[in-house]
Amino acid sequence: MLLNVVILTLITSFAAMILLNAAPRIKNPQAALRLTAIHLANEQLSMMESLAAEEGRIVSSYLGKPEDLTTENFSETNPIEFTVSTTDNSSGNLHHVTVKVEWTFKERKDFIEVERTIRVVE
Amino acid sequence: MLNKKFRSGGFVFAEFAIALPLLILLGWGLATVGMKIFYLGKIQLADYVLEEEVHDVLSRLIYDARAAKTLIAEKEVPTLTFTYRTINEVHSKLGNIQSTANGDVIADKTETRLYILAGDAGKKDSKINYKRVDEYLANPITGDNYFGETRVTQFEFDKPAEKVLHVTLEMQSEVTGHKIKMSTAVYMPGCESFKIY
Repeated sequence: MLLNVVILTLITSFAAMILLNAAPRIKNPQAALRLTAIHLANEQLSMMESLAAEEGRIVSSYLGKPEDLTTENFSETNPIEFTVSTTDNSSGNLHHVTVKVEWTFKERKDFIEVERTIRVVE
Repeated sequence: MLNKKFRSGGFVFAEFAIALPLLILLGWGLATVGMKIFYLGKIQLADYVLEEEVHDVLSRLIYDARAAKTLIAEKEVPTLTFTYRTINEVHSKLGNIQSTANGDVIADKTETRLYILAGDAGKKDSKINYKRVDEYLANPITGDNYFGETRVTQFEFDKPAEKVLHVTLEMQSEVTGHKIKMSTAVYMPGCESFKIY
């Protein structure tokens, strides 16, 4: 009986340790930040597409809204800043563009890369 | 024989005296840990629902906007109305790709899709409704989730460049109070008219 109690308590505490580590988003918002970053990269690519179609040029600087570079998703106390950089591999009319979005959360750097081929109208 | 009976009979009370408090303690511990796990699970589920609903609305919007022929955006009651050109008889006319390429098939039918914010932004039960032309009702695509009830706190759009629709969507969970805000932009290559009121 005594041994049973000890063993059951140990099993319960191990199970509790495992289950309590399943953190809510507020503890680990990396997935939400990644999703926000993908939408931000899409914004940059859309603006580049528009410029390429209307004015026939590719602009590598950030074209989106400045307020979209800061997010408070699941991190109200310390907003997270995104850095957007664009690389362009030109080949005639078709530009293969890569947008890289970087951010730092709890001293851990993370990034996503989104690629799209943009046709420049001449 | 008698001796054995006597000993076992005396031991029953001592056994219960030790085991019962331990059993109660174990039960209490299990209940506490269980409650904590379910509490955390509730928060986690509400956060997942919140994130998923924002992402779902935005990905639908991107998909719909990309192919739109016209777009009317109203800011008073946040509404986005997309129009597409389609054909009436898909199977008989579109069966031959060559006839489509030759221009024999004319996309003369229009189809609309509509996003509307139902309720006031930031108020309880504000949600985004979605409507297709063949439906009379706009169905909610956010909210109405028992474990992760949400409200829309911001649904705004803008035209930052030619043929570009910029959307900002912020939602708040009723369960946890957490907010999530995402912005994106879509370039609409085939858009012929884009009006913002």
